Amino acid sequence: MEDKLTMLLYNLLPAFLILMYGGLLAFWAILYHNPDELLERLATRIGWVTLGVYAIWLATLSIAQRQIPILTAGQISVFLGFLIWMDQLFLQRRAPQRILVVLPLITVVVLLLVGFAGGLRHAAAPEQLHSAWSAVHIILSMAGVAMLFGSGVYGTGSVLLKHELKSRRFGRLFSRLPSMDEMHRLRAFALYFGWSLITASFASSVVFLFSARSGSPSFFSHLHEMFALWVVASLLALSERLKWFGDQKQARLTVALSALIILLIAGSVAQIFFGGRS
Amino acid sequence: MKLEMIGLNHRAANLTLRERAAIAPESLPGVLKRAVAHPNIEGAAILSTCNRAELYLSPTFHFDQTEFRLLYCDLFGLDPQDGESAYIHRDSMAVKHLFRVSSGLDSQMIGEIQILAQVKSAYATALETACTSAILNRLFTHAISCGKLVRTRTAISQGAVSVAYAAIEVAQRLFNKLDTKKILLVGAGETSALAAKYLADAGACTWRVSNRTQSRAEAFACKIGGSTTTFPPTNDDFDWADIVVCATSAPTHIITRASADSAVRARKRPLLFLDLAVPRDVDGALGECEEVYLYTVDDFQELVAANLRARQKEALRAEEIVEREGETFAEWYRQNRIAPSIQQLQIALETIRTSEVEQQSHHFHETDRVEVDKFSRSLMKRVTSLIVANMRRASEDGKDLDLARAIALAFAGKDQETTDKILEKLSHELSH
Repeated sequence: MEDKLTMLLYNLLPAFLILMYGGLLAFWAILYHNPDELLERLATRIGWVTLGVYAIWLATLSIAQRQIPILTAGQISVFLGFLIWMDQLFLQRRAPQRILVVLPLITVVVLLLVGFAGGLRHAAAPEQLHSAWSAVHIILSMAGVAMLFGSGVYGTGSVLLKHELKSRRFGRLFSRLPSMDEMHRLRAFALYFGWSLITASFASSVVFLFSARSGSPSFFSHLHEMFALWVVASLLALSERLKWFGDQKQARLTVALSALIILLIAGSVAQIFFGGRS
Repeated sequence: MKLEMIGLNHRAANLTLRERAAIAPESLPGVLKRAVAHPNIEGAAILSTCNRAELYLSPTFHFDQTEFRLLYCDLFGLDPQDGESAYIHRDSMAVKHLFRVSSGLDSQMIGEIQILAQVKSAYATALETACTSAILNRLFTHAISCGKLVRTRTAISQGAVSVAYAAIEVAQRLFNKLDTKKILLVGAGETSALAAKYLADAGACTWRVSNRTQSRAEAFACKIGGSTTTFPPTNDDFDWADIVVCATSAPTHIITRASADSAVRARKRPLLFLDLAVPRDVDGALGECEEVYLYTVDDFQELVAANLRARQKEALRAEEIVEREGETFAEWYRQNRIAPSIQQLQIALETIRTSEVEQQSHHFHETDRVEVDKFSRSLMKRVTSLIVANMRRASEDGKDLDLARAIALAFAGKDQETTDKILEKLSHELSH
């Protein structure tokens, strides 16, 4: 019985999810070439169903290991994929055209593949990751990163649309992307939301480190990285709020800094899992 | 199938002939009543727009082509020789034609939206005048849903196909809603007035007018509910505006890079220049600035061409939908023509069932009677289902009418008149 559950949780369900997201990606790619409002609505509904399956899988995994799925780099990868997809569905409810869904879908498929290949079983997770504080900290930072990723997606959309408009190409992107105003609005919304989560995550990491006094040096180094990440996110949010740059420059900056933040987070996660062992 | 249509459209007739064929909305009920007064016509509907004048009929017997053309000319007030240009479609071709029309595939501007509303209006008028028949009711409701389906499942109606709307489309790609945007109109001539009208239709309501003659600027600003500014506009105006529409007849650039550079360089939000003037009013170099989007008439023509190409491509997908919907309609028709025979069969079987149950009721206990009733109903239902299924199968070989006739005769009740009517209708179908 236990073998069957293990098989289901660590092999069958993730493989099924990869297939579902791959299928959804192909569906949206077809819709990009042949617009069909009816099928677009269907694809959005399938998107919600896949999110449901994803949530059920993660919940079952959490119950089985008595901890949310943050015990291995692979688990963090698939958990981040879940949050990115959830954010995307949440954000796309605010934009009438949904073709930008392709970017998060590719990311989710990649994160699922990385998670699957990287290993989902928690043989030797660091001791500190079993505490409740670590769960709060990691969930907040990953939700923040997912939101910043969403901001980056809409920033990319703005950059693409600007390119179409400036080059007077009037191609598919011109007609299928949401309007520039709408993308700026969504980008700013996701940025502020993401920044709030990153701030809360940073605060929780401080509490987490002081509560776990026996923390390893890699965890103190993680605090420095979190601080650097928070500074970058704060500067980005501040420049958006105070309009330091024009909308287009801000969009490009969001894309670049969101990518940097995601890289920092990835490095930080790697530090936790692999830093202490070297 | 008993359907016929005749009409003139932009391909079959020139504007003069189309103008003569057009029927004013207030005259439509009268013409429809005259049409259904004809002994061979069971129902009629007229689709009269600026590009087409079409008559749809459900006749008892198909018209002879010459007679049909003469009838059309008579109803539409045309000379008999004008009818020669009219096209005629029968049965499934008439169905397909109306479906193509409602989908915008037969329009001068492919995918246009107005035609769907015009088909709806034509049907509503025929319905109000009580001139439709069952088949025309079904045809028009199906045509309307087909038109909607095509527009939902393809992008045939998307993208502007006129220069004016192309300018609005670009503005909406950039700003989404125009109701909060500020518009600077440079020039107060006809083109500016037209642009202001289209922008106002799209929601714009905050205006500033700049014109060489101040009195004209004031008169125009007063008309559209805006204010005036100097000519040419200053940096302050560019800082204020979100959209600048230029349409003067000046021989050289009114807005140069040097004159607007400091204002646009400092901008942190987009500024859209719609240069509708020929020769151009705005220096092309201004378009190189980060937040400036500059478009000329040529750009809009290119957008229109791109949209038309996209619509042509979508038309192929739309034709497939029309084809499928045509088949669905034909299937409905096949089932509908045997419906009276099936109904007669059901009535006959039910009469037999109730009388038999009643006759045998004294053999059963009161509690068993309910069971017997249930059993007899179920038995009759099974028999009917089997016959209906076989009739549907027979319709694929075109033998359903023979079977329907046989059933109508075999299960004829006391009401001979009803049976005769069914047989007459089936005979019409068979003769066709």
